[in-house]
Amino acid sequence: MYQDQINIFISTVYGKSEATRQLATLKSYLLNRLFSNDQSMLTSLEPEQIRWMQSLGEDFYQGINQTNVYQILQAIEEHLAQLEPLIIYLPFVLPDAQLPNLGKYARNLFGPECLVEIKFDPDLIAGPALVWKGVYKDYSIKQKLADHHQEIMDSLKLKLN
Amino acid sequence: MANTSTSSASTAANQKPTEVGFVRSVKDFLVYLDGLPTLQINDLVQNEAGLRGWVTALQKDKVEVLMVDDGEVTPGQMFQRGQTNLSVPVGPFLLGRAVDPLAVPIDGKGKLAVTDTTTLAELDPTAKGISFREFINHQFDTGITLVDSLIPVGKGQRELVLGDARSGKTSFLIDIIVNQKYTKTVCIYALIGKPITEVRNMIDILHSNNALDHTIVVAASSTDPAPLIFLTPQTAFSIAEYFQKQGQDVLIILDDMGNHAKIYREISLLANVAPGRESYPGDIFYQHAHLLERAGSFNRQAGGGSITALPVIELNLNDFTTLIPTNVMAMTDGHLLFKSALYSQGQRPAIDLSLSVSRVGQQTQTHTQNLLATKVKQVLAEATQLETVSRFSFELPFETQLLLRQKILIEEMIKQEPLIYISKEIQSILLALPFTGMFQDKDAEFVRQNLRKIIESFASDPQLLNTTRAVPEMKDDNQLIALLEKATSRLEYLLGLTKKGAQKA
Amino acid sequence: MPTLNLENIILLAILLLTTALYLWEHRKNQKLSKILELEPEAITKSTESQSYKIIHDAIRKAQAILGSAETESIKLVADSRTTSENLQKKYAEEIEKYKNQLQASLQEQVSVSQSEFNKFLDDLKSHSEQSQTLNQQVTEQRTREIFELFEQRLATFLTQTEQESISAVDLEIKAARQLIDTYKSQQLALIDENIIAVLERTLAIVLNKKLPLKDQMDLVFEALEKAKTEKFVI
Repeated sequence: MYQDQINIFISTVYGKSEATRQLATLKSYLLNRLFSNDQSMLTSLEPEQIRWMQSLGEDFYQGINQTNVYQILQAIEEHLAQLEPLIIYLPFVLPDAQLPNLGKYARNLFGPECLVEIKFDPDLIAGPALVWKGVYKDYSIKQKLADHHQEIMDSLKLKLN
Repeated sequence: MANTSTSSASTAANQKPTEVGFVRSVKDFLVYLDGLPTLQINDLVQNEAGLRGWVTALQKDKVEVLMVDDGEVTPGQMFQRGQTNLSVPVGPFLLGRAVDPLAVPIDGKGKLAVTDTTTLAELDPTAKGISFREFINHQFDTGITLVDSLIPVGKGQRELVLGDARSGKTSFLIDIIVNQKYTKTVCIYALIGKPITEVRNMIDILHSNNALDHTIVVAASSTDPAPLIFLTPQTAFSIAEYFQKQGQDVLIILDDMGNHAKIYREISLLANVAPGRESYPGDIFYQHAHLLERAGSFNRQAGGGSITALPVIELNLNDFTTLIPTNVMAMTDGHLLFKSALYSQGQRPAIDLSLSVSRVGQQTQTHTQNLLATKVKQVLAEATQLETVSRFSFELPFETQLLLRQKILIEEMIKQEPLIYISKEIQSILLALPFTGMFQDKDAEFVRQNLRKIIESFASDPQLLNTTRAVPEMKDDNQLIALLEKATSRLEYLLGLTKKGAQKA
Repeated sequence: MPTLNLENIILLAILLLTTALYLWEHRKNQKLSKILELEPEAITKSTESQSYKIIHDAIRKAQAILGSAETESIKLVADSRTTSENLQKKYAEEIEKYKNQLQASLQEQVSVSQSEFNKFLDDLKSHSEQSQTLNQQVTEQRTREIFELFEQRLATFLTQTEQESISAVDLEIKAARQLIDTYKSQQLALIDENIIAVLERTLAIVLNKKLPLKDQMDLVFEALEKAKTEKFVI
């Protein structure tokens, strides 16, 4: 049911929290459009959000009418809740513009329904740490340092001596 | 330090990816996490600040965790799976120490001597089944006349101690612990949610009476987090089981289970468990029965020792008909009821004999002890009936007078000063003495003044010592009384009632 | 009671006699007066003379008796005096004799016992001298033995304790060295950890600051690729 709308929605968002945020915006926009048609609503939206809603395309909006809008929104919400996000810890703050890049890259690798969640961890060094289904793995240089702990120490000692 | 700990954590992650979970919601000490795919109940989880949580329930999409350390937990925080599950290191190094339920010393005597080979005991194992248990047939010596002879407790028995506040329960329990230095029993005193000053005080009292050498104090004070307090009896039992597996007799005192029930009620209400009678959750009976089931007398296959449990419950206004006291009464093998009224009348210990019971103790007594106890109880019961009658008449028949006198004497004989150990033989002598000719004309005042001397005489006078040694060989109570009749002349001499001592005792 | 001496007896006898005589005369007179009532004058005269005569006789006789009694008594007193004197003298003599005897025997006994005592003392002296010399010898021997034993034991004890203390010190040193070693290794490990930590901090600061976003992103993409190949994320 409503798989088209779900697929279109998922294809335009890459982060889990982004998805929930956009869904809320979409909900208020659709309800406004279908039930009250208040023009002031559109002006209150950020240009970023308007651009996003336009990116959903006409196909997305065509199938939506007053009778099925709630079901569609609920279906999208349920589908989102089922998706397990890939949590990525980054040592730097990711600019919003970079999120789609990262998301697309991840989708190429892990399939079209992959959602990412970005967290900031200043303890990491040049590289991310990933959490997938409750399991944590560090892919940063920090882990590499820990892996090669002994060798680094040996070479350091050699230098010091 | 923080750096070293994180780097060592990442070294561990090197071998195996760490399981993590994120806080979804927090309610006081109750935390729900997601993630952590292979977690099990009773595992420990730890956040980056080192705060530990105890996994109590696994739901479809979340894990229920009770925090055992105080600290701030916020939604979104990451929790790692702990290195160990919920367990405590056990060993002889615990003797003389005071620890909290996670075996962290609280007595300021430094770290426990834990090594890599130290046994880790699970906190909540299933109690051993019937095939590992033995019939209770050895008496547990408390050294207190009233208990040992009239309400005897067996090794491995569970005997509830209940009574009002300030009715002498604690001093009774201390007496029992102190007296265990004569029986080489390991004592474990679990203080559940008591004020921190009381915990400190208890440790000091045990220390000053040289009782700490064979005692372990497990304590969570009322200021500790509720889940930690809840775990106190579990830890105490895990330690007790270690010593029991070494073939030792262990005494475990749970002071008190009323607090434990309240703490469990607090946790359950917070976790949205439907409240039942008195707002306690439905499984409160299970929780206590499950614990006390771990006591008992075990056979050689299970190590051979025994765990005697004395759960304590403080009553309110002598009302023992509320949920928790009746529950615990139902799952123990008897109870000792302390009354503050008796305490203020000067009876020590202030146990109400008519309302106290021991369901397995009798089978551990000798035949003579049994007969004597029956006789004493009979006299007390008959005399109590006659007392009412005697108030209305001036001239009583001699038999009645004798009976009333014997009751008074017995009541006086079973009063016991604190910190005194009376051996079983002397206990029998004390209870049999009121039936001898010597005491037919003595009153309560005489016993009050001479009780200590009588006990000393039977324990140290060379002639009377022979009598004391002969007590276990007696076939029945009459024989015992006859034996004592022969010894009374010597006793009278020692008490200074006659000038010349009998030549033969 | 008056004493019954000779004079009193004599006087009593005289008195009795005179009374008897008087009574007898009185009765005769009465008889006579009856007979001679006719001629009272003559009778009275004769009787008077007769009585006078009798009284006179009696007095004379009494005087004689008195005199003889007196002489008797004097004689008797003298006799008794001589006897007592004799007795006294004899008694003194006897005592003297006995005294002499006793003195002699005592003296004899004293001398005998004295000599015996002397003899005993001599014996004792000799005995004690004998035993003293013997004792001296024994004690000397004993002390010598004890001293030898003591010296021996002391020597062994000293060597033993020396060895023990040396080994104890050795053990202590070993334990201390071990402790130092463990401490050293622990400290070194700590230093190592710290070096790594410093390295990590420096790297983190340098890389996070200096690495351009593109390189950072490339690192992330690389990590994702790696997770894919490791099948960490499916």
